[in-house]
Amino acid sequence: MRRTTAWICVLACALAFASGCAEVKPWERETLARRDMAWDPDPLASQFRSHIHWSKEGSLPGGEAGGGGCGCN
Amino acid sequence: MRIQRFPFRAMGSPCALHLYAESDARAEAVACRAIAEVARLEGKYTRYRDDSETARINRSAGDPAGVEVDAETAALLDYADTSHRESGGLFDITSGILRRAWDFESRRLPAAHEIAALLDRVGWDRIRWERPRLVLPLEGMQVDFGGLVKEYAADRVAELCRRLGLRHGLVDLGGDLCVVGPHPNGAAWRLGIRDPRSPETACASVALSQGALASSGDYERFMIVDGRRYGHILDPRSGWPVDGLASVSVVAPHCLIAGTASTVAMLKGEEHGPRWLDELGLPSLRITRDGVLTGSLGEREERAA
Amino acid sequence: MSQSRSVRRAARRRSRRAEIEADRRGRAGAPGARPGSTLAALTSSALAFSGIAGSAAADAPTDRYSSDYSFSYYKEDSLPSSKVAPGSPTSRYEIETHQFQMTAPIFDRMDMNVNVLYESMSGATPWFVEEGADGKPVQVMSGATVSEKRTDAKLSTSYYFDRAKLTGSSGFSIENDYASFGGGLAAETHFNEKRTTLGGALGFSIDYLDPTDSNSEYPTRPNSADKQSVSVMASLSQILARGTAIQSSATYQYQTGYLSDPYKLVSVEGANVADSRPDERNQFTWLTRLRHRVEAMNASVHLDYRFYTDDWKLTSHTAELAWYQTFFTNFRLIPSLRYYSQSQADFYDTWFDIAPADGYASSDYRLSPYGAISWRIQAEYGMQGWPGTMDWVLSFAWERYLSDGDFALGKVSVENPGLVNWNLFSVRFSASF
Repeated sequence: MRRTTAWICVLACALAFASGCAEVKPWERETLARRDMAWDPDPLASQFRSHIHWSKEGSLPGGEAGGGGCGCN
Repeated sequence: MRIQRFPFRAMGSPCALHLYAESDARAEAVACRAIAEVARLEGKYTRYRDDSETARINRSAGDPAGVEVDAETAALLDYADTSHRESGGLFDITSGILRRAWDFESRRLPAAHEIAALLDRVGWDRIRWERPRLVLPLEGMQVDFGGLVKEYAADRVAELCRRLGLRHGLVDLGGDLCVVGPHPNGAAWRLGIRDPRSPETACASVALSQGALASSGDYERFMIVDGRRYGHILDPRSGWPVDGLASVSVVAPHCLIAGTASTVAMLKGEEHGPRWLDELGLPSLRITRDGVLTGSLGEREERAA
Repeated sequence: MSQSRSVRRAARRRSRRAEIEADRRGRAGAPGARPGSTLAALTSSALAFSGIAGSAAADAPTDRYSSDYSFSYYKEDSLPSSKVAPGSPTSRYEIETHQFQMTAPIFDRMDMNVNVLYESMSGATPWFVEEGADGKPVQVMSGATVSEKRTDAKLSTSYYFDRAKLTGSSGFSIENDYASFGGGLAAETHFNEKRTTLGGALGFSIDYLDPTDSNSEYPTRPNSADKQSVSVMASLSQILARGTAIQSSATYQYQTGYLSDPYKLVSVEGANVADSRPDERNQFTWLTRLRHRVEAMNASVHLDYRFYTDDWKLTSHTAELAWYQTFFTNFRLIPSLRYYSQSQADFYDTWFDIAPADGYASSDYRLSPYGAISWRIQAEYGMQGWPGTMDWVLSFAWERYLSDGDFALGKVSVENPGLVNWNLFSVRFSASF
């Protein structure tokens, strides 16, 4: 069950990347440059929530490397 | 939402903002900021004032230490550098001084030595540009942002309007147009292209809902000597006017690019200009001295028989 | 006369077509002709200007100073009495946090970011699990109402090349019984007219534990301990369309040292012994994020999926969906939902009737199987200006988090009694100039 899930995800990503080399000219970036289209529009909030999830759940946040820990219980 | 028009004068030309906003007060507030931004750029890059950035740069000509420029000027210089390269040396912001040899009122052709003396001080290749330092090695050399600032300002103002929340509008800086957004019902802006032979009327129209339109024309200043026509657009390599088209209009995503493309096409002349434009891949309209229209852009207006 | 009418009709037809053509070209360049290198060169040069390309030139150092301040209040629900051993406190943790961040340009091709956090935490924490009256597990909470202060600071600097960016960062987190020091290096580069971004990062962290009351009262607690970790990440982002972008990243982390919880006990063969976990952990995370603009509604949608697994046999799935709705330009409402499900670590149980062969045992709810659902609503109001004037945003948010064995993807036969529910309120003010 775990493996199937993983494979579906890999395939979905591959498809997204393949179909995705659409004609987006560099000048058509205004939409993507919007703050609400950013990977992280609210860094303080996402940092804080990520920290809470990491302290209170069993997983790593992902998407970054390094940074410290804390003794949160 | 109703349209509001804000005419003003800047950079030696009649300008106007056509804006749609939720309220008149909002449109006015945005227009105020936009006009202030145009004034800022004009003050910074004009060659007619001693306290402008251009004047400061030109005063350093002959000084091997050169000047340090800020990020905005650096970006303009980088752009000028790219344009110089991509146009095969025709787009040259140091070529401004050549206009000194040409007096269109006098109807006198300049002497060879006059041109030669000026040509010694012309040439972007001679400039040393290493961000953020610009060195004009020879005294008398000058940079002139005139061919860039109006189009750059149009782009800046359109972006400013968008950042301030406007989604529909048109920026017109003396014929260099940049669309903020289409009419609220989605309809495109109908833009007219001046007829070189009767500049008060349009000979073609372009519908644009996004992007920019810029034009270069050679019909404003010229002189006829011994039956030959000499326009005011000078080839920076020879110092002599190009034998070219009457006007070129180009549509591009940014006014800066549309402006450069139309200028370079004019400089390339009647024979090579249109071909260069077609290779460039942007929609354009070319009008020859005889009034022949070529190019994929625009809808030709019906001419009265 | 009639001729001119048909000519006019033809002209209207041509006019419509030309309108559509010019419109489409204004957007994407002449059809058929691929934009040549000249156009590409001019375009990327034009995009280098900040303030004409909608700040699409994400590859330049910031040209503005921006700062943010945020205050958050986090409160865990008290445990229901059915889940708690008689006599044990039921209330849990409460945290008040202040965060401050500032980004500034420095030198020509660099910018830097400083991030400082100060929080005070108080409350009881789960101590151990025991069998309750009806045979179901109940939580025993530590009697201590701890009040601790934690300070966290991070500094990072980025250097921008023409097509790439390098970032170095370092930071620390210090509280009375724990200190962590870490740093990292990240790099990013663009291809394909900036449509594709490749990123990589390396990080490390060294932590020192100094558990309180370790001698007399709680002999199972180590006097002092430490742990180290290194991690490596690779990411790929792709712009799919004008308003759609996707990013996927894989992270691997290795931890070694004292990885147990010094404040927790576990019941093994009837006696409470120290929580004991392996001294190594290999962790893998795969995070994929999608951002899509829904222009017709003046909104954007964010979808994130994270897969996690480690060699303690803990695997989790996380999905988060957020809708960014803009009203009247200055106001934004952001509702979001999060779903989380984890399986248990292989040395986890509520208690151990027989001592585990490898000696590893823990009844920490964070290693137990469960699922969590949370919803969040954020409201923002702001004004966006222009260089020389200030942009600011005021934001309020509330999040509610619930965890339960029944929410998990798999079947959970026995839920850990210490599963936590919480509320988080936060307010933030951001300004840039």
